[in-house]
Amino acid sequence: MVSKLSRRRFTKLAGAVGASSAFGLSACATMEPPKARVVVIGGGFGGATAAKYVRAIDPAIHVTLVEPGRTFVTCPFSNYVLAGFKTINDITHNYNALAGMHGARVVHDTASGIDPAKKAVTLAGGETLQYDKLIVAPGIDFRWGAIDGYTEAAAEIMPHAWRAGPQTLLLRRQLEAMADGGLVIMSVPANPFRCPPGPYERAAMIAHYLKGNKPRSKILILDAKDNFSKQPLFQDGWKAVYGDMIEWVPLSKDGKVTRAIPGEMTVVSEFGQNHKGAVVNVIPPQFAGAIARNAGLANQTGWCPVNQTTFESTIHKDIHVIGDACLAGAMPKSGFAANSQGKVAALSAVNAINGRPTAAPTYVNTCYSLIAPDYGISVTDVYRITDQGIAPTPNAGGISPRQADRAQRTGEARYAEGWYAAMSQDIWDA
Amino acid sequence: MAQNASPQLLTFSCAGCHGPGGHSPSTIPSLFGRTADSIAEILRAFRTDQRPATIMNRIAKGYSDAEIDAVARELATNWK
Repeated sequence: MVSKLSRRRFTKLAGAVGASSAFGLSACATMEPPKARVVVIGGGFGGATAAKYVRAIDPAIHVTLVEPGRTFVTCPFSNYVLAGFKTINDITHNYNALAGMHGARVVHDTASGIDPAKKAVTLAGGETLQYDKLIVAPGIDFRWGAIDGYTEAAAEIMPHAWRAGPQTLLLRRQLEAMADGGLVIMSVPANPFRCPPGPYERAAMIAHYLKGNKPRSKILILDAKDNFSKQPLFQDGWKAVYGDMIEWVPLSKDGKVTRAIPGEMTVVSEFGQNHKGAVVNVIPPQFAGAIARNAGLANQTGWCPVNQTTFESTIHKDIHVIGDACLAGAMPKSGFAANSQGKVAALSAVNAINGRPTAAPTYVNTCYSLIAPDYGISVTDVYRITDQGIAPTPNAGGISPRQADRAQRTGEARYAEGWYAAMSQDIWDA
Repeated sequence: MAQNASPQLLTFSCAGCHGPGGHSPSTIPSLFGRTADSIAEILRAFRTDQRPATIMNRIAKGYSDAEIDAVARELATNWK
């Protein structure tokens, strides 16, 4: 359980102002009607951040978070469950702090519809929630069938493990059951998709497990693009730690998978080459979560266009879309980016409710990846609004130096742990 | 240089890695209980690569002098 001290610390973090903040915990705990109602759909990196920060910035605002799961399993660090040095419990969080000391109402149900005209969200369980501001953070859905034959049923044989939880454990069990000398195939989609460095870290983490347990095995990455996030750092690291265990096939070398045949553990490339694996991990193409698309918040790309200063939808007023589901210029679809956008959207919604001007935004992203448990690399950027939309600040950010001593790599591995712990507290745990 | 960012949002950015209220739960240094001068001085040293770092040197280069002063004041005031 979290202490009153941390609640106070957090309120200070938010720099909460106004008379209402002195009254402490919760507008919904009193008989007073709330100043305003904010509804948040989705309890992941973006949504849970936004819900907590609205409460912290202005405790007079009533916040309802709609999230079907009682716990949330993070995609970040799920590759370490595959590697065998983290458990699924290590990466599972709950909503006790949000519902407790932060005083949000957490409803474990599925949002089934949004009515932008009536400013109402309907839930599968039958309840209707009225909102003044709605923040939609549904993450991704998979484009089933975009790879011919790759259906939900196929994912039980060839897991995607791109939404952490049972799929992560399924892929782990398959790696454990594989014989030494087996071929692990990974199919990676074109941009944009969730967690751009994730597939390449996954290859390293599977290699870490195989090197210690099944050293004659190989990993084949079939990629629908010709370059990828932190590419030189990954390729240097793979070679330094795992020799030739990992092979990467880009789009231009026929790396794009267009068909899956689960019964034969085979994937087929664009130009008809068959690849048969002992374990096959297909990360399929993606689009915004269903609730956002069904509400008409997405455009023809399948993602949701938003005002780049406030993250309010450019299609429907008083609805913000944050995280993987939205179009955020040069920002990647990462947990950190969603956290950053959640804070901007929360402040924007609160300022609008209180009749204050929009704050000048700043966005940041920091993503660590591990090549091995003691070998970390990172990418970071500070983003600003430019004529071209959200863009990284010139002459800042970027990837870890390519020429670096071991201290840089071991330091970044330690900071990856620190990042995860701090981020988890910033969102769910404290 | 673009418009200087809101000090409140700058502070929020720090919490992602350094923890809510600057209380880091793990390997990353905490930020609470520092003076504005010391925070601004360290950020400037990161920005010019005078202080060794794995990542803060890359991050600090993303902020203007005015933003460094503003976030230092905000952190020193709120993260005690």
